Amino acid sequence: MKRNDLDFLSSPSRQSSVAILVILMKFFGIILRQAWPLIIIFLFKSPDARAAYLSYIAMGIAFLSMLASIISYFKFYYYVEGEELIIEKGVIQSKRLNVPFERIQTVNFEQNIIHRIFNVVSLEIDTAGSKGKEFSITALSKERAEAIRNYLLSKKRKTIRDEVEEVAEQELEENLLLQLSPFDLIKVGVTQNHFRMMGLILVSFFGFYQFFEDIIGDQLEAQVKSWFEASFNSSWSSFLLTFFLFLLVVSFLLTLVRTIVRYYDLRFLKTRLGFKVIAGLFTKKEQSANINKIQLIHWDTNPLMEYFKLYSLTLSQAASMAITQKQSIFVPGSYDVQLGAVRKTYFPEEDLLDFEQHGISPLIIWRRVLYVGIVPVGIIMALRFAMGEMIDLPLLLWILIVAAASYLYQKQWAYFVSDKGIRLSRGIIGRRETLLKWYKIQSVKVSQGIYQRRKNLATIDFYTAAGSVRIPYIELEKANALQNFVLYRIESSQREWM
Amino acid sequence: MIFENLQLDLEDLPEVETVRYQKLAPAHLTIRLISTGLLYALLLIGMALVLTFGEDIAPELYYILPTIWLCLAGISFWLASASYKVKAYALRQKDIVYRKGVIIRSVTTIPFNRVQHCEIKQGPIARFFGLKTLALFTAGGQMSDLSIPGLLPREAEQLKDFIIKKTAEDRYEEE
Repeated sequence: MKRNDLDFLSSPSRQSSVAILVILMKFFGIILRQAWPLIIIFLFKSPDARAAYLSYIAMGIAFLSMLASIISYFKFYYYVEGEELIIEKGVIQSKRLNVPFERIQTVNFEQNIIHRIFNVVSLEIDTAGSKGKEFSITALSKERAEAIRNYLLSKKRKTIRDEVEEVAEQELEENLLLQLSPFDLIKVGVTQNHFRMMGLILVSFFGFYQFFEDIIGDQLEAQVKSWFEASFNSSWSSFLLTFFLFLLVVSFLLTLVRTIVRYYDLRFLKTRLGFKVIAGLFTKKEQSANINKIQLIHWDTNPLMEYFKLYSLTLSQAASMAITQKQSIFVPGSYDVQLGAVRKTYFPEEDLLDFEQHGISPLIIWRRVLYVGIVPVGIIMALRFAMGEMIDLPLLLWILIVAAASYLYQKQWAYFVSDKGIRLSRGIIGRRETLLKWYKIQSVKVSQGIYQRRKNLATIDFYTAAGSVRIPYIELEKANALQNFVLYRIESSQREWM
Repeated sequence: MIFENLQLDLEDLPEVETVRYQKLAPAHLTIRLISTGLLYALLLIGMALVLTFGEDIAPELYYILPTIWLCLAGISFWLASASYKVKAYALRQKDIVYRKGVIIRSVTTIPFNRVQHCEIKQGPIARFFGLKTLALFTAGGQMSDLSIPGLLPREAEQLKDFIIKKTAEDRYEEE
């Protein structure tokens, strides 16, 4: 890095002026999202004096906040002082935020459509610590943003340099592991869980329906009723079937669109410190993870994905609770090659170690059938019976479904124990596998319910800084042995978990 | 033998399951009973107000609500006294073990070299009885944090000092 590239950091500087535009757009976006029901009401209902009065107030508030967001641009400065990045901001009260270099965890870029038109990026700096504070700069020219990032990360490396990073520094170049082609993207979209989307649609559909019913009143109900009657004057079952198929098609299309918007032109790179993902159609998101910050990795697959030999990979990074979700790197549409590369980086010894396979107790099947199947169905049936109604057969079918699912769940649950870490594999229709190295664990819990105590079974939880891993219903003896072994490994480990 | 592939003899490792636990101070049970009592007294007052001044109350409610109250209070008092017997901690050379739970019994172990922060707390009722709570935090999130109540002030201070010393030592060894 040439010295003069970084001169701008030594004195307070403003963001790129595009920031005003970005702030304003963000502001209007929020208004639209928050206030669209009001807008609709205004369109539907004839305006009266009270409504006009309210709308003046709303406009006044909107104008003031717009002014505030413009002023906030002129009040925003960033610079480096000593070993800290300083951000000054605040419209009425000035605030000064100090970000010590050694506390910086990751520096991410994000670009929405405006950023891309003007070739600027927004910079997000994540720091460690339970407060979960994040710092962001709304718009910066690409050169400056990159200069800042390289500067911050190089500063950070000087403060904590350990063996992992030294090894990593040998390979200086960024290595493209995966780039999703449009065809790959469609494969990813097609193999998503469409039923989840269907549930979402159903929930929001009823939400909307109730909402519109509230504001427009009986008109809507009558309208919908007559429409339904006109289209399906046949029986209910054919109506339900049509509705289900319609919903399925809509969910399918929506997940496809969502996948394309989110993962368009996804690139998965191996950098010298870890991994990086860049993706997005309108908003280009870039996220990176340092190798030593990755606590555990998951990969998911389902029968459709298995047909295309696809996995979706999750690299979970250490972060404060509030932002753990955001800190995971998610790579849909990975193949064996990428999965292998990630496993090799996270757990280099994996191939050389001996993994011993174990399963969970079959008694869990009965427990699950009891708690998810028999008890709820029993309660519903008792209530219906008390109200003098018939006993439903579909309810009994539910118990059968739960039984079949529980059977598959137990059969497919497996964990593989080795000297340095553990691999888990579970799932009913799809499959989720997890890889966890022992020294990443923060604490261990062995617990037993009443039934488990009687049967000498236990559930063991391993807590890490990026989520926990649970093995249910294993022999108590095994749980204790695992617990003692893992604790010994953690306590005698010389390695920092991060 | 189980887990035969591991390079350590599992029988030689220190065992959590055979550790000798230290019970909490007896006054902790009193504190738990008092706070449970206060909660149910409040519920009783609320219920009485509703039943006396409420309008259109179904006649069955006059005996259903008190029965529910009695059952819940009974269960809660039983749980409070039973959980006192289970709650216990053990200090080992390199970690701290805490046992709790009547229905689901759990044993949580936090190695000292994973403790991020520890502090001593005291609630209003506990202050009256002079007992303190030691809270231990790890990077593993809320679920993995420990909170050991019912400690005598000196005991709590000693535990905290010991853990801080151990945490610092273990960190030092690593460097």
